[in-house]
Amino acid sequence: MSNTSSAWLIETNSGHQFAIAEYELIEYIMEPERHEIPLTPVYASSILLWQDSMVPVIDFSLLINQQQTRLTTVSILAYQTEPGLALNYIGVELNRAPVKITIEDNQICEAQDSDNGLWASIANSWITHQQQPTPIINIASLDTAEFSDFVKTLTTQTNAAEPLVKLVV
Amino acid sequence: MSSLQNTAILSMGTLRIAVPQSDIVTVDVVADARPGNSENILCAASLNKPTHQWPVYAFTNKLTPANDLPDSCRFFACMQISDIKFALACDGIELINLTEEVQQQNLPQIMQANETPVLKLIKYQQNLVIQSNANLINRYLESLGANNVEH
Repeated sequence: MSNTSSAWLIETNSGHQFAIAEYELIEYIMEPERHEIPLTPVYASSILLWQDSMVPVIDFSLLINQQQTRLTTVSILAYQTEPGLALNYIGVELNRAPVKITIEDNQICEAQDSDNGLWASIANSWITHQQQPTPIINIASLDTAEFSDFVKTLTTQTNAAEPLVKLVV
Repeated sequence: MSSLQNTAILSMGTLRIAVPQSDIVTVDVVADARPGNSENILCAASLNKPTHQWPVYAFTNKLTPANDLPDSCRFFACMQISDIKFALACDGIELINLTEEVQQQNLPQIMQANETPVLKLIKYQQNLVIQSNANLINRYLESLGANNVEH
Protein backbone atom coordinates (compact mmCIF):
# COMPACT_ATOMS: atom_id res chain seq x y z
CA MET A 1 0.00 0.00 0.00
CA SER A 2 1.49 3.34 -1.02
CA ASN A 3 1.54 6.52 1.05
CA THR A 4 -0.46 9.51 -0.14
CA SER A 5 -0.12 13.20 0.58
CA SER A 6 -2.01 16.32 -0.43
CA ALA A 7 -0.44 19.00 -2.58
CA TRP A 8 -1.32 21.96 -4.75
CA LEU A 9 -0.69 21.96 -8.46
CA ILE A 10 0.35 25.44 -9.58
CA GLU A 11 0.18 26.49 -13.23
CA THR A 12 2.38 29.51 -13.80
CA ASN A 13 1.63 32.19 -16.37
CA SER A 14 4.27 30.53 -18.56
CA GLY A 15 2.04 27.46 -18.79
CA HIS A 16 4.39 25.32 -16.71
CA GLN A 17 3.16 23.30 -13.78
CA PHE A 18 4.75 22.50 -10.47
CA ALA A 19 3.54 21.04 -7.21
CA ILE A 20 4.02 22.28 -3.67
CA ALA A 21 3.08 20.88 -0.30
CA GLU A 22 -0.46 21.60 0.80
CA TYR A 23 0.57 23.89 3.65
CA GLU A 24 2.80 26.05 1.44
CA LEU A 25 -0.02 27.75 -0.47
CA ILE A 26 -1.26 30.64 1.63
CA GLU A 27 -3.50 32.70 -0.59
CA TYR A 28 -4.76 33.07 -4.14
CA ILE A 29 -5.31 36.71 -5.10
CA MET A 30 -7.25 38.03 -8.06
CA GLU A 31 -5.73 41.09 -9.72
CA PRO A 32 -3.59 42.35 -6.86
CA GLU A 33 -1.93 45.75 -7.03
CA ARG A 34 1.70 45.28 -7.98
CA HIS A 35 4.33 47.86 -7.08
CA GLU A 36 7.14 48.02 -9.62
CA ILE A 37 10.64 48.29 -8.20
CA PRO A 38 13.08 49.90 -10.62
CA LEU A 39 16.34 48.29 -11.68
CA THR A 40 15.30 44.74 -10.84
CA PRO A 41 15.27 41.68 -13.11
CA VAL A 42 12.22 41.77 -15.37
CA TYR A 43 10.98 38.42 -14.07
CA ALA A 44 10.97 39.67 -10.48
CA SER A 45 10.27 43.37 -10.72
CA SER A 46 7.19 43.82 -8.56
CA ILE A 47 6.17 43.68 -4.93
CA LEU A 48 2.79 43.01 -3.40
CA LEU A 49 1.87 44.74 -0.16
CA TRP A 50 0.11 41.77 1.37
CA GLN A 51 -1.02 41.80 4.96
CA ASP A 52 2.11 42.93 6.83
CA SER A 53 4.56 41.71 4.25
CA MET A 54 6.27 43.01 1.15
CA VAL A 55 6.12 40.01 -1.16
CA PRO A 56 8.28 39.70 -4.31
CA VAL A 57 6.43 38.23 -7.30
CA ILE A 58 7.98 35.91 -9.90
CA ASP A 59 6.79 36.09 -13.47
CA PHE A 60 7.76 32.75 -15.02
CA SER A 61 6.50 33.84 -18.41
CA LEU A 62 9.16 36.53 -18.55
CA LEU A 63 11.74 34.22 -17.00
CA ILE A 64 11.25 31.29 -19.39
CA ASN A 65 9.36 32.53 -22.42
CA GLN A 66 10.58 36.12 -22.28
CA GLN A 67 7.05 37.20 -23.05
CA GLN A 68 4.80 39.42 -21.05
CA THR A 69 1.40 37.92 -20.45
CA ARG A 70 -1.69 39.57 -19.07
CA LEU A 71 -1.25 39.57 -15.32
CA THR A 72 -4.34 38.63 -13.38
CA THR A 73 -3.77 36.31 -10.46
CA VAL A 74 -1.03 35.59 -7.98
CA SER A 75 -0.50 32.81 -5.48
CA ILE A 76 1.24 33.66 -2.23
CA LEU A 77 3.53 30.81 -1.23
CA ALA A 78 5.19 30.48 2.16
CA TYR A 79 8.54 29.03 3.09
CA GLN A 80 11.03 28.91 5.93
CA THR A 81 14.75 29.18 5.48
CA GLU A 82 15.26 27.23 8.71
CA PRO A 83 12.89 25.43 11.06
CA GLY A 84 11.66 27.73 13.80
CA LEU A 85 12.27 30.95 11.87
CA ALA A 86 9.49 33.25 10.71
CA LEU A 87 7.72 32.48 7.46
CA ASN A 88 8.82 34.20 4.29
CA TYR A 89 6.52 34.73 1.33
CA ILE A 90 6.90 34.79 -2.40
CA GLY A 91 4.29 35.36 -5.09
CA VAL A 92 3.93 33.55 -8.40
CA GLU A 93 2.00 34.87 -11.39
CA LEU A 94 -0.54 32.24 -12.46
CA ASN A 95 -2.54 31.12 -15.46
CA ARG A 96 -5.35 29.70 -13.39
CA ALA A 97 -6.36 28.85 -9.87
CA PRO A 98 -4.26 26.22 -8.06
CA VAL A 99 -5.68 22.71 -8.11
CA LYS A 100 -5.55 20.39 -5.14
CA ILE A 101 -4.10 16.99 -5.96
CA THR A 102 -3.19 13.81 -4.14
CA ILE A 103 0.26 12.42 -4.65
CA GLU A 104 1.07 8.76 -4.20
CA ASP A 105 4.51 7.29 -3.77
CA ASN A 106 4.25 5.43 -7.04
CA GLN A 107 4.02 8.74 -8.92
CA ILE A 108 7.65 9.58 -8.11
CA CYS A 109 9.69 9.73 -11.28
CA GLU A 110 13.13 10.67 -12.57
CA ALA A 111 14.27 14.28 -12.55
CA GLN A 112 13.85 16.04 -15.88
CA ASP A 113 16.11 18.52 -17.58
CA SER A 114 13.51 20.69 -19.28
CA ASP A 115 13.90 24.44 -19.72
CA ASN A 116 17.69 24.23 -19.47
CA GLY A 117 17.49 22.62 -16.06
CA LEU A 118 15.54 25.49 -14.52
CA TRP A 119 13.00 23.26 -12.80
CA ALA A 120 15.58 20.69 -11.80
CA SER A 121 17.47 23.49 -10.04
CA ILE A 122 14.58 24.18 -7.70
CA ALA A 123 12.91 20.75 -7.50
CA ASN A 124 12.98 18.56 -4.41
CA SER A 125 11.60 15.65 -6.40
CA TRP A 126 9.48 14.84 -9.43
CA ILE A 127 6.16 13.13 -9.94
CA THR A 128 4.23 11.99 -12.97
CA HIS A 129 0.94 13.85 -13.02
CA GLN A 130 -1.48 13.26 -15.87
CA GLN A 131 1.35 11.65 -17.84
CA GLN A 132 3.52 14.74 -17.40
CA PRO A 133 6.70 14.91 -15.31
CA THR A 134 6.01 17.60 -12.74
CA PRO A 135 8.50 19.03 -10.25
CA ILE A 136 7.72 19.38 -6.58
CA ILE A 137 9.61 22.54 -5.91
CA ASN A 138 11.50 23.88 -2.95
CA ILE A 139 10.01 27.35 -2.65
CA ALA A 140 12.84 28.68 -0.51
CA SER A 141 15.27 28.01 -3.35
CA LEU A 142 13.55 30.65 -5.50
CA ASP A 143 14.83 33.46 -3.30
CA THR A 144 18.47 32.46 -3.11
CA ALA A 145 21.66 33.74 -4.64
CA GLU A 146 22.16 30.29 -6.17
CA PHE A 147 18.92 30.55 -8.10
CA SER A 148 19.67 34.10 -9.21
CA ASP A 149 23.11 32.98 -10.38
CA PHE A 150 21.60 30.00 -12.15
CA VAL A 151 19.19 32.24 -14.05
CA LYS A 152 22.15 34.35 -15.14
CA THR A 153 23.87 31.25 -16.52
CA LEU A 154 20.76 30.52 -18.58
CA THR A 155 21.35 33.80 -20.36
CA THR A 156 24.74 32.66 -21.59
CA GLN A 157 23.49 29.13 -22.40
CA THR A 158 20.66 30.34 -24.55
CA ASN A 159 22.65 33.26 -25.96
CA ALA A 160 19.31 34.91 -26.36
CA ALA A 161 18.96 38.13 -28.28
CA GLU A 162 16.75 39.30 -25.44
CA PRO A 163 18.53 38.29 -22.23
CA LEU A 164 16.56 36.52 -19.54
CA VAL A 165 17.98 38.88 -16.97
CA LYS A 166 17.43 42.34 -18.21
CA LEU A 167 16.71 45.22 -15.99
CA VAL A 168 13.46 47.10 -15.77
CA VAL A 169 14.32 50.51 -17.15
CA MET B 1 15.93 55.07 19.87
CA SER B 2 16.48 58.67 18.93
CA SER B 3 13.39 60.73 18.26
CA LEU B 4 15.31 62.80 15.73
CA GLN B 5 14.24 62.55 12.16
CA ASN B 6 16.96 60.55 10.51
CA THR B 7 15.72 59.84 7.01
CA ALA B 8 14.68 62.00 4.09
CA ILE B 9 12.17 60.71 1.55
CA LEU B 10 12.73 62.33 -1.81
CA SER B 11 9.71 62.36 -4.11
CA MET B 12 10.34 62.22 -7.84
CA GLY B 13 7.05 61.74 -9.63
CA THR B 14 5.72 58.41 -8.37
CA LEU B 15 9.21 57.34 -7.29
CA ARG B 16 10.15 57.75 -3.65
CA ILE B 17 13.72 57.30 -2.46
CA ALA B 18 14.67 57.31 1.20
CA VAL B 19 18.21 58.37 2.03
CA PRO B 20 19.90 59.09 5.36
CA GLN B 21 19.32 62.71 6.23
CA SER B 22 23.01 63.00 7.04
CA ASP B 23 23.85 62.33 3.36
CA ILE B 24 22.12 65.58 2.41
CA VAL B 25 24.26 68.62 3.02
CA THR B 26 21.87 71.26 1.73
CA VAL B 27 18.49 71.55 0.10
CA ASP B 28 18.23 74.23 -2.53
CA VAL B 29 15.11 75.54 -4.14
CA VAL B 30 15.09 75.43 -7.90
CA ALA B 31 16.37 78.81 -8.94
CA ASP B 32 20.00 79.00 -9.90
CA ALA B 33 20.12 75.87 -12.01
CA ARG B 34 21.04 75.88 -15.64
CA PRO B 35 19.89 73.12 -17.98
CA GLY B 36 22.31 70.33 -18.79
CA ASN B 37 26.00 70.03 -18.15
CA SER B 38 28.37 69.85 -21.07
CA GLU B 39 30.80 67.65 -19.13
CA ASN B 40 28.20 65.17 -17.98
CA ILE B 41 25.45 64.12 -20.36
CA LEU B 42 23.57 62.29 -17.61
CA CYS B 43 22.90 65.56 -15.82
CA ALA B 44 19.61 67.32 -16.16
CA ALA B 45 21.07 70.58 -14.86
CA SER B 46 23.90 72.23 -13.03
CA LEU B 47 23.64 74.04 -9.76
CA ASN B 48 25.92 77.02 -9.32
CA LYS B 49 27.40 77.30 -5.87
CA PRO B 50 30.02 79.86 -4.87
CA THR B 51 32.85 77.34 -4.93
CA HIS B 52 31.62 74.60 -7.15
CA GLN B 53 29.18 73.64 -9.84
CA TRP B 54 27.05 70.71 -8.68
CA PRO B 55 25.78 68.21 -11.23
CA VAL B 56 22.03 67.73 -10.83
CA TYR B 57 20.38 64.43 -11.73
CA ALA B 58 16.69 63.93 -12.30
CA PHE B 59 15.41 60.36 -12.13
CA THR B 60 12.49 58.94 -14.05
CA ASN B 61 10.02 56.62 -12.33
CA LYS B 62 12.28 53.80 -13.54
CA LEU B 63 15.26 55.31 -11.76
CA THR B 64 17.04 56.18 -14.97
CA PRO B 65 18.56 59.64 -15.40
CA ALA B 66 16.32 62.05 -17.28
CA ASN B 67 17.72 64.63 -19.67
CA ASP B 68 15.61 67.47 -18.38
CA LEU B 69 14.32 68.72 -15.09
CA PRO B 70 10.65 67.80 -14.76
CA ASP B 71 8.19 70.65 -14.38
CA SER B 72 7.29 69.28 -10.96
CA CYS B 73 10.85 69.71 -9.67
CA ARG B 74 11.01 72.15 -6.76
CA PHE B 75 14.11 71.19 -4.78
CA PHE B 76 17.64 69.98 -5.18
CA ALA B 77 18.87 67.61 -2.49
CA CYS B 78 22.63 68.18 -2.47
CA MET B 79 24.63 65.16 -1.40
CA GLN B 80 28.28 64.90 -0.55
CA ILE B 81 30.64 62.04 0.23
CA SER B 82 34.17 63.38 0.72
CA ASP B 83 35.07 64.93 -2.65
CA ILE B 84 32.02 63.55 -4.45
CA LYS B 85 29.21 66.04 -4.86
CA PHE B 86 25.96 65.80 -6.70
CA ALA B 87 22.34 66.83 -6.33
CA LEU B 88 19.07 65.04 -6.97
CA ALA B 89 16.10 66.90 -8.36
CA CYS B 90 12.93 66.20 -6.43
CA ASP B 91 9.35 67.36 -6.17
CA GLY B 92 9.28 67.17 -2.40
CA ILE B 93 11.26 66.13 0.64
CA GLU B 94 9.77 64.60 3.75
CA LEU B 95 11.75 63.96 6.89
CA ILE B 96 10.81 60.88 8.88
CA ASN B 97 12.17 58.95 11.78
CA LEU B 98 12.97 55.51 10.44
CA THR B 99 12.50 53.44 13.55
CA GLU B 100 11.92 49.72 13.91
CA GLU B 101 8.20 50.43 13.84
CA VAL B 102 8.45 51.46 10.20
CA GLN B 103 8.19 48.29 8.18
CA GLN B 104 11.31 47.69 6.13
CA GLN B 105 13.12 44.76 4.58
CA ASN B 106 16.12 44.09 2.43
CA LEU B 107 15.58 43.91 -1.29
CA PRO B 108 14.69 40.23 -1.82
CA GLN B 109 17.50 38.16 -3.27
CA ILE B 110 15.50 37.36 -6.39
CA MET B 111 15.19 41.09 -7.11
CA GLN B 112 18.88 41.84 -6.75
CA ALA B 113 20.83 43.20 -9.69
CA ASN B 114 24.41 44.37 -9.77
CA GLU B 115 23.53 47.80 -11.01
CA THR B 116 20.88 48.63 -8.46
CA PRO B 117 21.29 51.34 -5.82
CA VAL B 118 18.24 49.95 -4.02
CA LEU B 119 19.21 48.71 -0.58
CA LYS B 120 15.92 48.10 1.16
CA LEU B 121 12.20 48.49 0.70
CA ILE B 122 10.18 50.53 3.15
CA LYS B 123 6.43 50.44 3.58
CA TYR B 124 5.46 53.96 4.46
CA GLN B 125 1.89 55.23 4.51
CA GLN B 126 0.70 52.29 2.40
CA ASN B 127 3.27 53.03 -0.29
CA LEU B 128 6.57 51.47 -1.16
CA VAL B 129 9.67 53.59 -0.75
CA ILE B 130 13.05 52.40 -1.93
CA GLN B 131 15.91 52.98 0.45
CA SER B 132 19.34 53.94 -0.77
CA ASN B 133 22.13 56.30 0.20
CA ALA B 134 24.44 58.81 -1.44
CA ASN B 135 27.24 56.29 -1.86
CA LEU B 136 25.06 53.74 -3.65
CA ILE B 137 23.44 56.37 -5.83
CA ASN B 138 26.84 57.75 -6.78
CA ARG B 139 28.11 54.25 -7.62
CA TYR B 140 25.04 53.68 -9.75
CA LEU B 141 25.55 56.98 -11.57
CA GLU B 142 29.23 56.17 -12.06
CA SER B 143 28.26 52.80 -13.57
CA LEU B 144 26.28 54.79 -16.12
CA GLY B 145 29.27 57.00 -16.88
CA ALA B 146 28.85 59.93 -14.52
CA ASN B 147 31.78 61.55 -12.77
CA ASN B 148 30.80 63.46 -9.65
CA VAL B 149 34.25 63.99 -8.21
CA GLU B 150 34.91 67.64 -7.52
CA HIS B 151 37.62 69.03 -9.77
